[in-house]
Order: sequence, then C-alpha cells, then structure tokens
Amino acid sequence: MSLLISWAGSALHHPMLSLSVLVVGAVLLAAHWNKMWGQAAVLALYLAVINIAAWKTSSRAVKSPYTGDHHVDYVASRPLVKNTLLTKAYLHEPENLPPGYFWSLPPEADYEGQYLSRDVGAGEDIDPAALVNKPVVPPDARAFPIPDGSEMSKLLDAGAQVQWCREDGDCIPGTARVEAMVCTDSTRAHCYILVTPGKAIESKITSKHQIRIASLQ
Amino acid sequence: MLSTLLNSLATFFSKFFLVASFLPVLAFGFFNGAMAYLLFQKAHDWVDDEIFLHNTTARSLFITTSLTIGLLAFAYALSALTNYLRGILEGKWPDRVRKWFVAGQVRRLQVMLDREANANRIRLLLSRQSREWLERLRNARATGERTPANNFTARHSAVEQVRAMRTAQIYNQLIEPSDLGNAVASLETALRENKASLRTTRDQRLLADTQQELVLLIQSTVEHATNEHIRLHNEVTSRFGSQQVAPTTMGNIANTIQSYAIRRYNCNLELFWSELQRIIQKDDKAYTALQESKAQLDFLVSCVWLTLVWSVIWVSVLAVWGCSVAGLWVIALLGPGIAYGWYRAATEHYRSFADVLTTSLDLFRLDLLTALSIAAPADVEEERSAWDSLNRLTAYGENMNFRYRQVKPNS
Repeated sequence: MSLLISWAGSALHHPMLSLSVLVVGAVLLAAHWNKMWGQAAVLALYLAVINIAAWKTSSRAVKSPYTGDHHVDYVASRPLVKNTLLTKAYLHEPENLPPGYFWSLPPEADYEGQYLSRDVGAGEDIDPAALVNKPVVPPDARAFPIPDGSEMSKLLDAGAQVQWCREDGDCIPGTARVEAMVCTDSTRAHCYILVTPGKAIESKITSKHQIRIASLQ
Repeated sequence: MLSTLLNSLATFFSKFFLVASFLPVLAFGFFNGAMAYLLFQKAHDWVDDEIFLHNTTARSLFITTSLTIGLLAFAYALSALTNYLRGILEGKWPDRVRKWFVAGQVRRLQVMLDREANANRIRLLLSRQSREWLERLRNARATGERTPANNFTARHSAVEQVRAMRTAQIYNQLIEPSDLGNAVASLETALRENKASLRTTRDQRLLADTQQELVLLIQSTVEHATNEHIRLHNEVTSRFGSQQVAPTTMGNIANTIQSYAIRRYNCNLELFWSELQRIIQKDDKAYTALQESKAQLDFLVSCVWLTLVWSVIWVSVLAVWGCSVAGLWVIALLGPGIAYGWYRAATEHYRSFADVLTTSLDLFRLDLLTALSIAAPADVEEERSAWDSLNRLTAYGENMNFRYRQVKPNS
C-alpha cells in the first residue's frame, strides 16, 4: 500500500507533493496500528494546506518575471528621456517584487551618474544595458553653466525647456530643450546643461542673460 | 543601551516573568524582525536607517525604548495567557476533538502497562521458582557425583539454551521463566547422569561451567526483572495519572500530580493548592525551587506557541506574496518541527516540575493542616481520613466535623 501511495505521489511529478503523499500514507498506516487518528488527521490537513500554498506559490513564480534567473531591475519613477542623468530619485523598486528578491537589485550607486541611452516610460524597467557613461548630444549643442549651489541643477535634466532672461525680467522669446546635464559629481554642485538653442535665440544671448526653467522634463 | 534597559527592567519585574515571558517574546521579536529584514526592502531600509546608518543616541534610545515597551506589553499579555496556553497543550479541548486524540494515548498506556505486567509476571514467577531451581541443580550435581564418568558434550541442549539466554540478556531482553525452566530441566538431567567434578577434557569442564553460568543467569534475571518492573512502574506513574486519560502527553503528565496526592494522602491537591503555596512561601529555598521550575516550564510553553505563531506568520506571508516554493517548505517544516521539539522538552520538564510539586506536598502538607488549625494526624490512616474529610467538607459541603487544634498563647 505504501509503495502504491509512493507511486501515486511520484506520478504527480512534484517531489514535495509526492513526499507529502508518502508521509501521509505512512502516518495513516502508523495511525492504523497506534490508533493516532487525530494526530494523523492534523498532519494530513497541514500537509494538504502547505501543498496548496506551494502550488499557488509555484504558479505565481511561473508568472513572475523575476523568478527565472533572479534578474531584477529598478523601474523608472517617472518618464525619463534619453540622456537623463540618473539619480536615486529616479529609481524605484518594482511594486510586485516577491519577498527577498530585493537582494538581487543592483547597487543604486551603479546607476548614479550614468546616462540613459534611450527613453524609459514611468514604471518601466531601467535596463543596465541601456546605461552609458556620457550623453549623446547633437554636434551643435552648447554648454551653459548653472550657477554653483543653485537649486536649478537638482530640478533640471534632459528634456526640460529653458529660456534666457535678464534680471529686469525681460526674456528672449522662445525656449530651448536641454539635451543633457553634465555634473562634476553626484551632489550636482557644479553642473552644465547642454542645449541646442537655435540660431535665433543664440544670437540674442548676452552676458547679462541668465538661464531660467521654462518647463520641467 | 539594551542591557541597561534590561537591568532596570529586572528591578520592576520578577526574574521569573523575564525568563518565562519576556525572553521568549524578545526572541520572537528578533526572529520576526530578522525575517522582515531579509524579505522586505521597506523593513530592511527602516532597520538600516534607524539602527545601523543614522544612529544617534536620542533616536536610538527612543526606538529601543518603544520596542522594549511594545515587547513588554506583549510579554505581559502572554504571561496572563500562560495557564490557558498550557491548558491547550494539556489537552483541555472540547470532547468532540478529544476523542480523536485520546485513543493514541490509551494505546501508549496499554503498551506500557503490558510491559510492566510482563516484567511483574516474570519477577513473581522467578522469585517463586528461582530458589527451587537452584536447589534442584545442587541436588542433581550431588547425585551425579556418585556416577563414575562425565560424558557431557558441547552439543548438549542445555549448553545451547544457556547461550541463547545469555545473548538475549546482552540485548537487554527479559528472559522468560519457561526458558530458564527448560534449561534447568535439561541441565538437571545432565548433572544427574555425569560426574561434574571430572574436568579432564574441555567438554567435561563445560558441565560445571554451564551450571555456574545458569545459576548466575537465574540470579541476574531476577534482579533484571525487579529493576525493569520498578522502572516501568515509575515510567507509568510519572507519565499517566489515574484519572481519565488526556489526549496529549503533557496532559497525562499533569494528571500524575493530582493522582499522586490522591494515591498517597487521599488529598485533593487542586482544592488546597493555593493554601499550600502560601505555606511553601515561608520556606525561601523551596519556594524559589518551585518558582524556578514553573518559570522554566512556562518558558518552554511560551516557546512552543511563539514558534508556531512565527511559522504561521511567515508561511502565510510566503504563501500570499512569495515565489519561492523551497522557502515555503523550509519554513512550513522547520517551524512546526522546532515547535514540536519545544513541546517534547516541555513535556520532559513537566515531569520534573511534577516531581517538585509532589515533593512540596510531601514536605509541607502537615504544615498546611497546622495552618488550618487541624491537629496533626497520628498515623497514615488518620491523615488519609483527615484529607478525605476536608475534601468532602470543602468541595461538597458535607457535614464534617473537625476539632480545632488549640494554640497556646505563648507557643
């Protein structure tokens, strides 16, 4: 009978399920001899519950994109365009990450200071393969310094629109797209923006003009 | 920081509370925290931020104090529930559930009683027959000494029988009196027909040697059966009470305390336990021993339940959110396995706790009678009668009369 139960268990092609069936069979036999029906029932019920839980877990693992090779990526906290200079604020742990899988996330430091080589939508994976050391900008892009210690460096990034204004509020009509931002360190204390202002704007920029944010990325 | 806090806690709470309730809860908190730290990034980040990375004295003090107060409150609730939780392990369940579990315990008891009865049967038979067997062997040898030759050989059935019984004894088996009787009969014939003092050849020497070996075997079997009977009787009385069989091992051990009080003194210990405790309190050493034993038992009971709760929590967490089947099985088997280990330890400790309780009863029962202003009984019968009358008066309200012991003013 034990062998029959064991065979039935192996036929189910699940090692722990087979083992459970075998254990329950053995316990039932022992219960038959020792009259331990209550104990056998509790054990059988417990193993049944755990097997159901294991089956549910197993089917969840099959559907999960992370369980195959434990490859886990951060997701973008908001839409990020190509050439975005990555910071911790842009990285989010995936919401449906199974317990314990966060240990497989790469260190955040690996992302900081890197540039995206392509656009990434909000909630999409940030693939480490899409990271590059320097931005790829049009050849006519010009670098403009951001005043040291300005909050602007923490707000600006690729995709933002800037304009040039004088202290009296008189602005040059039109805006220019920030192609990328380059900083000397991760604190963004000394940064430049690379923009392509276009000839109409570029010709009007004087030393009295300062950069202002027209719209954020 | 934590050690300072624990030291100051020791002054507010008894050490028995700290051992029996707070220590298991502290370990429970730690292992839950460890699981949360390993499985959830938010918990991991919180621990890193609050404890490891941005640790300042004021912040650390606040968090440690909050955690300790939380754990203390939990431990206090647990200590209030200890009797109830121990009762569940003792099998205080509804009758519908009990009946499914009692049969196994009854079977265990039957097996133990059968073994005890067997040892007793062998002991009684041997105590009656061993002297007669030894006498028969002596007489047969004396008869054989009058014959002229010794033709005994190693192929004689007595040699084989003695060898088989010696092997059984080495394996700690009780030798059946019928086997000994058969060996005695065979050897008796051989001794009567051969002169055992003729010891020229190896076979001839074997006759006297076999006789000596059989005599030793009879004596050691009597001793073995007596020891085995005492051991099995102690085992039965320390594992099963005389009341209705409980559905769990722990419940049956708990029953032995009341059974002992009834068997030895006819005393309903459950009824007089509170009064007896007050008497024991007057003896510091005895009371401390009792409290320590109780605290150790409560510690083990708390560990059983907290380990079960721990495994239920994490099996549920992994079943609902997890993707690791292996992890689920590890927790599902490890948790109840460890809890069962704690339970076995608790049942074994319960036996020593029961021993402490019965010893306390032995030592302080007369003091209890004195405290109740009842004259000390003159003999065992009078004492049994006194406890029985007290029980009938207190438990059933029967009209029992006692003459109070008059205490002299200067005594």
